[in-house]
Amino acid sequence: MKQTAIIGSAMSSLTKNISENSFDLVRTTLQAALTDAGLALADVEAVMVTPPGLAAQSTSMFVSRLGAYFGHGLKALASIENGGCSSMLALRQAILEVASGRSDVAVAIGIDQRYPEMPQNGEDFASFFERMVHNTMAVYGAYDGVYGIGAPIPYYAMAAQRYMYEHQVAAEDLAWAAVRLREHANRNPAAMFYRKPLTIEDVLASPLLSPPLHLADCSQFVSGAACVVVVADDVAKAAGQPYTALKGWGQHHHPSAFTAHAPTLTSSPAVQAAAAEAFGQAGVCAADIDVAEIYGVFSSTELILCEDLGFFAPGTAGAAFREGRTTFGGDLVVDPSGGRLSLGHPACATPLLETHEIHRQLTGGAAGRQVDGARLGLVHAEHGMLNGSIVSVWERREP
Amino acid sequence: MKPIIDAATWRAILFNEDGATRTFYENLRTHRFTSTRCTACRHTSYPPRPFCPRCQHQEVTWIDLPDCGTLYAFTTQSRSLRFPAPDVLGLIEFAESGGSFDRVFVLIDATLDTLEIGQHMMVGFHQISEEITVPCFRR
Repeated sequence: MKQTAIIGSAMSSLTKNISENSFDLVRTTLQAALTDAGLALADVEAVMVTPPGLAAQSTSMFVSRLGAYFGHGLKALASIENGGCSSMLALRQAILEVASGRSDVAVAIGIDQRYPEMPQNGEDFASFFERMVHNTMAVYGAYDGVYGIGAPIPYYAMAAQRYMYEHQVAAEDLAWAAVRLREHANRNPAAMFYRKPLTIEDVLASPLLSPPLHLADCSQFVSGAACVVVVADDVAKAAGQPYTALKGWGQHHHPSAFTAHAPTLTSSPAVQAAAAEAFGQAGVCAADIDVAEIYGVFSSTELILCEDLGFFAPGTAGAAFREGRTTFGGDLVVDPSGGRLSLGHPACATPLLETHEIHRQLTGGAAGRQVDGARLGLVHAEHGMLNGSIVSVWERREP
Repeated sequence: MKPIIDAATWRAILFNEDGATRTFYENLRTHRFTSTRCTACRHTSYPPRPFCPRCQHQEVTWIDLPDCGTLYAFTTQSRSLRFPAPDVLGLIEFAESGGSFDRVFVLIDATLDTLEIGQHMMVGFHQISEEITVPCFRR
């Protein structure tokens, strides 16, 4: 297997609802990533994408039409789906395509587009409600979906309640995670919440969606895309710029429905197993990581993930966020992009937004929020309700 | 809109998961909260399955779940399509599940401010439509 490298990446602007057609969003994001890599569309041999998200009327044949749209032949083309892990698995396929020697240039593209939750394009209310029921029952299943779950907030709220109960943690400690992420977003012009300051008081005064979670403890689903360009290590070296290389990959899918089978709600066996595998392969430990982008979709999840990844002991992540140990000048920087809460969260694209940020940080291109001397980065992605996770460790390489 | 939502929900129940799902909801209609137990290793699954996920044995029997347990966690949701907000949802832990499964996710018939973790809860039932009844635990 060949050594591989990331030599370019890009993200689109993030918008609350769908703002441009799917092919436009893919094309412009791909073009920006290729420009960043110093390559052209004609160089691309493998394209791995995610399905285009809930705004699509159907995802059937999406990638097939997309391939034809580019206008030149490809050696590999696929759409890959596993919830929030989708784009990380697309990146995995792109890496394998180059590592196997079949393709010289492979791209992974994550795209997620959403409509406002209201009737679309002349749809009547009856059809709209039928569609909503169909979609949510498909996501939450025949046993949980029947309670009318429309978003996963109640699950995570109960996990947050248990976390606060078991570790005697106050709502302020959860709020600190939201505030630190907003501080980071205020350094990142690409973040949805750029220049929108947030205080502990703001978080606690925001509406309680599902107690104990306030609105400001939650990420919002948004539309957007990200793209990462993969080439062989020797190609990256020859390009003459610092680049990013995969050092360890861990992946685990725990056989649990979140509520019924998770052994606990306050830590995730999948995250722990994926982290152990990734750190073992990389030959590093959690304390060696300079910068991490993690899939914390709620403030409470942000804390639990930091503990499962080994950054902090169980029950202590809230204090770590409060004391500044997760921000610039701390033990490591967690989510310099602003994270899911304040960067914006287009779920299917999120892991590539995270990878884009880590690539920027490791190659010294994160102006305004650069982690000084960052050499080792971590990306975490999850699907389901943390019952499946991917942890990857990345390092800066010199040309 | 309720008849449309209820009909769509029932269609989705029959379409999603597996053949055990229909039996689960048929039992709820007669006020039995049930699941499946493996005839070989006696592992109880929840939600029910037509096979044993522990030993992969392909034969199971239906059993009644315990009619009381303790409240493990609870919350409300603000965007439910099914119930007027706020509806309370919770996790009930059964002492006698024997580690076969950990807890069940159900509707809770109580206001949020009257609940606390560890509270003793009894099974009840809430009828949503002609086809759909759900387990609903009360103090």
